Amino acid sequence: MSAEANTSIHQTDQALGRLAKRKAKENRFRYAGIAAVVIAMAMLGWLVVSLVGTGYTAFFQHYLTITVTLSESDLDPHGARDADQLRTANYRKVIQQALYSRFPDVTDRRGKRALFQIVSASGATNQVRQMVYQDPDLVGREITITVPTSDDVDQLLKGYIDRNAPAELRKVSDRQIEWVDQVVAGGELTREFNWRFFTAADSRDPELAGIAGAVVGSLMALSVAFMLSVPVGVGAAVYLEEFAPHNRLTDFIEININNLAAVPSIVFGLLGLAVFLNFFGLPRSAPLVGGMVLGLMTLPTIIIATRSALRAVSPSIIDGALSLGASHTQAVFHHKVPLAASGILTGSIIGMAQALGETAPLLMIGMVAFVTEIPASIMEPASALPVQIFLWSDSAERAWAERASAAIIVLLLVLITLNAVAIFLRSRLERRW
Amino acid sequence: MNEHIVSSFDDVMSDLSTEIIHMGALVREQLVGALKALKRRDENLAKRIRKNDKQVDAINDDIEERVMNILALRQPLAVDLRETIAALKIARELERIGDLARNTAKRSRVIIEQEPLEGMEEIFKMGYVAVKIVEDVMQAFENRDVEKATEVWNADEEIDEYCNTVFTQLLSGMMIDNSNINACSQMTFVAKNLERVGDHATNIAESIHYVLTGEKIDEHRPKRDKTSSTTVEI
Amino acid sequence: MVNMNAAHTKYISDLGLTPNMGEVIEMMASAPAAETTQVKFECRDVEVFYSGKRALRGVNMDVPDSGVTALIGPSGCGKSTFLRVFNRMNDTIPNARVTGQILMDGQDIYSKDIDPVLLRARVGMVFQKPNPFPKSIYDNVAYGPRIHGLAPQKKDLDNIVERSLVRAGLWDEVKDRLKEPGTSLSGGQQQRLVIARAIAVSPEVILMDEPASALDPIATARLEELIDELKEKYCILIVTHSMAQAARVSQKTAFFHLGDLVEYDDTQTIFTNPKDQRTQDYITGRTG
Repeated sequence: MSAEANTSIHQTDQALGRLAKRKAKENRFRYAGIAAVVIAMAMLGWLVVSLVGTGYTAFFQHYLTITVTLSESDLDPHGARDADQLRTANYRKVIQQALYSRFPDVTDRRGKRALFQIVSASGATNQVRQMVYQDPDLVGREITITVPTSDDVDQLLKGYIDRNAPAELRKVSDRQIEWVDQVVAGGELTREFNWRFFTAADSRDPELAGIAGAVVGSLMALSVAFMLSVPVGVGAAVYLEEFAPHNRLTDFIEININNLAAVPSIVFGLLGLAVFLNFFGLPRSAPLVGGMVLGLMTLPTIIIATRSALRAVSPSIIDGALSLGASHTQAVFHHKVPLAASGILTGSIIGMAQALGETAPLLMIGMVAFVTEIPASIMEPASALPVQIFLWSDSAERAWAERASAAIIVLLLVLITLNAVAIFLRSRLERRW
Repeated sequence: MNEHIVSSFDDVMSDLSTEIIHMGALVREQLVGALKALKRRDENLAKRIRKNDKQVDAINDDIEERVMNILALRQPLAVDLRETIAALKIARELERIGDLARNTAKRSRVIIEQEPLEGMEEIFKMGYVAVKIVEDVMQAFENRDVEKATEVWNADEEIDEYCNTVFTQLLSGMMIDNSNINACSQMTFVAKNLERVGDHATNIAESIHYVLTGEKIDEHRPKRDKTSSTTVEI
Repeated sequence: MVNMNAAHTKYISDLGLTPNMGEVIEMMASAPAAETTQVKFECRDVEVFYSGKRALRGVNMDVPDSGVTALIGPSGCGKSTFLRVFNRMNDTIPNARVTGQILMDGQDIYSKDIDPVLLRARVGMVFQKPNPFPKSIYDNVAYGPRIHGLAPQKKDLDNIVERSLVRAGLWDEVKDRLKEPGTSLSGGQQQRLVIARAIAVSPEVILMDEPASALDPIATARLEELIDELKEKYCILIVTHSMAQAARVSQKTAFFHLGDLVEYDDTQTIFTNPKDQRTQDYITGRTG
């Protein structure tokens, strides 16, 4: 026995050589795997870094503090404090005068126009108009307000416009740079958190544009999609999985559901355009229609996820219920569906996340419109977050690029939150048995 | 009989039967030896027989241990269970036959010391029948032969008949000559021993029958032994 | 003797009972009859087909009303299939078809008037792998009575739950943790919980499909002890792979082989002296 052990074929040099080869092979595979993970992480990291790098500055905005004189002669020559009069008064002049008095040495026409361009024209005038309209007593007084700078000045201060570039190649002139430097030195120019980005709707001026309209539009569309696709999808899945007879018709339906999941999303947009807008005459650009289209798009995903979640429930539980005299329907609804709930929920949330990021079908039904109001109902025109990003990234000014990146960051955060909720719910609902 | 899926179980069972067969052969030798010693008045042989009985007992102990192991380790069922239990019983019966052979050898010492008796052919014929019956029953065991076992079972009548004859002869012998009493009374015990051998062989036949058929022989055992009520006219 | 009889007659008439020989004879005749076992299930030519393939062939068998009946045989012999005939669990398998007659107390359980839902309340089942619902211990036991509406009030339900757990020998172990999930119990406890769950709907019969195959020897012993107690009140059919277990717990044993009922007899007879060579070979571990 011991003599044989010494000559075992597993202890020869050849055997050790084969073992070394085998181990080397396994190690090569492991390193290849690690390399793949590193490359993937690097690419993801690059994406995040570049997004955050371009986008984070949009969360800050530069404001100029100016002193404006709300003279009665300019704003309310009749002294009636009439609402119409106060709304239509020439606030532009008020702002201009405030700037001229800050820089009294600017006298030429071109200089004056350039000077006015350092603040956001409509932003500053609207702000003063709003204040006066709400409090007419301000007329005749002198107040100090903080108004947003124009996007060019903002970009200059954020360092996106190169001061040393030739004057004709940059959007800010030498004189404007000089004025900006003066107010910076005077402490009149401040950098503040850009609340407007989260509270305003879209605008023609980058410094006034926000994502609130798009976020609200997206949420509305998503709610509609959720309320449409989850009950219908789960119901269809439960019926097909548990109650439908197995015949050619159900096989056909099953194949088609699986195929629908792979249909490009723009096709759903076309369907929405043809059916909801042209046939049913629903309003264009409305979150209702957007939600319906997104809901249709998510339906196959939810049906497939629900069916696989139902199939994953251990049949022994159902046998247990049936053996106690539960009917098939009771067994399904008392045991199978609750046990599949975490899977169904995960599938639904992933479907919703997918819908949130979808642009193509919304383009088809007109949710690509320029909407400066936050929509108040699902019938009003609205935009959606990914569409907003698409629109902004298409615009020329440098300031839009920064805002598009910021909007993408917000979109990603929402998606991460949705996935986190999915994970949380799954771990809460999932029980071992 | 099909083989067990676990072949070592087959080995264990066949070892057990082999040992029983071996024990049967040894016991038969003991019985033949005891009768020979009596017939040839050979005290040395009788002594050897008495000593050899220890060997029979040792085999019996070994068989008991084997049976215990089979029960504990193999949990035999059905035919295996019947065979295992039968082995235990057969060994016990053989051990008794061995005891009877020893007892006969013991009694032969007293008989040898006395004057030889006349007309003792019958008891040796009876001895021959007893040996034959042990031989037959062991053959039935070895060949798993139900018919042979049933034959043995019925053959017990013959030995009982002999016993009656021998008993009457011995009683008459004692009546005729007082000096015969010592030898004759020992002789009656020898006859009784041989009759008991027949009984034990019958028990073995019953066990074999049960192993092979699963049924007990349910008729009454033939009993022709009338010694308990035999008297002679004085 | 005569005096004794006269005294007896007087004693009976004092009690206001008229001695009637006919009655006495009847009583004497019926007394032993009560002890002979009644038949719970009569199976006549039962056959089961899966997608047209015959899994069980012409089984004729009477299952006694009391005691434990064990079904043994090699894998795929049809014993589990046969067990599932009694509570019509085969109905849930697509393409499964049962022919022949199974009479429960004389009534055909496959007739149109029998709803499998009510049949399964009368014929409970315990499975190979303990399958408590992922709910609390209390809810596990209460589920059956709830769906059948057996307990109108919370108090009644509490009673049923306690009684069932007591009967399943689990009460002392779980009475302080009824709100904990049933899945937190050990395997043996889970199997007893499942039995309590089955008992809670007051069945007449309990089917057990290899109930101890996932349990350790101690838990198995507890389960067998429980089966021994339950057989007083319920008709129990048990499928088992362990012949020793069949021998320990059952009074009747049926041996199945390749879809045939080969032999059905008292357990003692099957394990000491089976009549059929196939039974013999199977239980002694021989190649057939």
